Amino acid sequence: MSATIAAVANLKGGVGKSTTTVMLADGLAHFYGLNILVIDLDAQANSSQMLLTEQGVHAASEQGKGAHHLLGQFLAGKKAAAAPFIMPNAVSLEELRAAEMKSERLGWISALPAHPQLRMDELSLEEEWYSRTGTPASLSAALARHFETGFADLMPLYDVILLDCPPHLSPLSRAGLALADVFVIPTLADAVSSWGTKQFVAWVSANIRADLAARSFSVITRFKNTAYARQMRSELQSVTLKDIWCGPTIPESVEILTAMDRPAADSHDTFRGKYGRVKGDVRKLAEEFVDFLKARQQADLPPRVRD
Amino acid sequence: MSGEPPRDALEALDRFFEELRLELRANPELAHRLVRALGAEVSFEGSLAARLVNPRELAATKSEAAFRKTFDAMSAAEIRSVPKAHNLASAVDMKGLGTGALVDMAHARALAKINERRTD
Repeated sequence: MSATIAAVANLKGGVGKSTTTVMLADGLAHFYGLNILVIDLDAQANSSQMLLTEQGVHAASEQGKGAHHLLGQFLAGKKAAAAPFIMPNAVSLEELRAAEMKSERLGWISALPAHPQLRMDELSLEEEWYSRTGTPASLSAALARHFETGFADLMPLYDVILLDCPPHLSPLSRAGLALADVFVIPTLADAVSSWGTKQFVAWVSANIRADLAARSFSVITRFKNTAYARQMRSELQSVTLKDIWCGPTIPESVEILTAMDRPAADSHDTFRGKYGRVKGDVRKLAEEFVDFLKARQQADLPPRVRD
Repeated sequence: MSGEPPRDALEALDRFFEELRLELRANPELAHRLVRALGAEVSFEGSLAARLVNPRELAATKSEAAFRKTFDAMSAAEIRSVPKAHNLASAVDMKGLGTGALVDMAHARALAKINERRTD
């Protein structure tokens, strides 16, 4: 087994990258029994909060866990190793926990969480790097090599590694994009998001992956079923994303917002209880992503293990 | 309501307030919102309290004793409904817990959520 690295990314902020990351992690672990690692490269730490709660993110930091320690290794000139900084249990689903307690693990989620400190460390790194006449491109390339080394030991342990990338092209984000095998591009069905998505596809195609379109899976999120949104979705799918695999449309939903606000770090819920009426949407997201991985990456993934 | 036009302003207002009173009696959620908008505080009991109480707000503004007192008049089923309705606990979290433990959990988690929201 060698993990597929999927970068969840878009130039535009607020398009549902973190929510899509968590829904994919839950859907792939629950329905396909996959071993998932969520790496949060966004200093806003939203997917980390959704998985661990805000208190959990601080607790992780106090325990010496978090993506910023990888940057610390880079700054100190040490060899990268990500494993010591991972929170091994980021599972909120009762079905996964129950199977684990019976020593019948079937699907699991771990997290390399972010912390606001990540952006501070990244800024320090940028100041130091650029003061030595380094360039943004050389920094992101060096970081990508550092991460590749740091993730090497993890590759046999996970089926899918989800990189939740920040919405701008920071060195961290560029390093994450450079490492990715595939790209998940969430977007809203509106004109501004369409423009951000177009810019993202153009920039990554030109600078990181010439075959981005063949490696990308798009998701329209927070969809309000209005005539305007239907028109914008049609334009996105037929024009902006015409060469990109169009995944499902996820509706605007209070239940998704609630699902992402985990009551406490020790709170668990069934998949049905967590996602309520949108459980079918999360299942469809996981199913279509698995179809995409099988078709575009020839990924050897198991059949569904849960209904 | 009389189909006749009111004889004077007072009768018109009487009719208006009577309609409002009837609606508020049938719709305690609206009554609660209006009373809050006036800045007043009214306690509700039992099933009404279970429907109207906001445990996060209660934990943020009241003492722990006042928090617990709000749950005193509720049935076990009503107590169970509150943390679930306010996303403080899932059905899995509440499984096997008695009412005392449920109120403990609601209070601890409501406080934790409020602490997450604080900016100070």
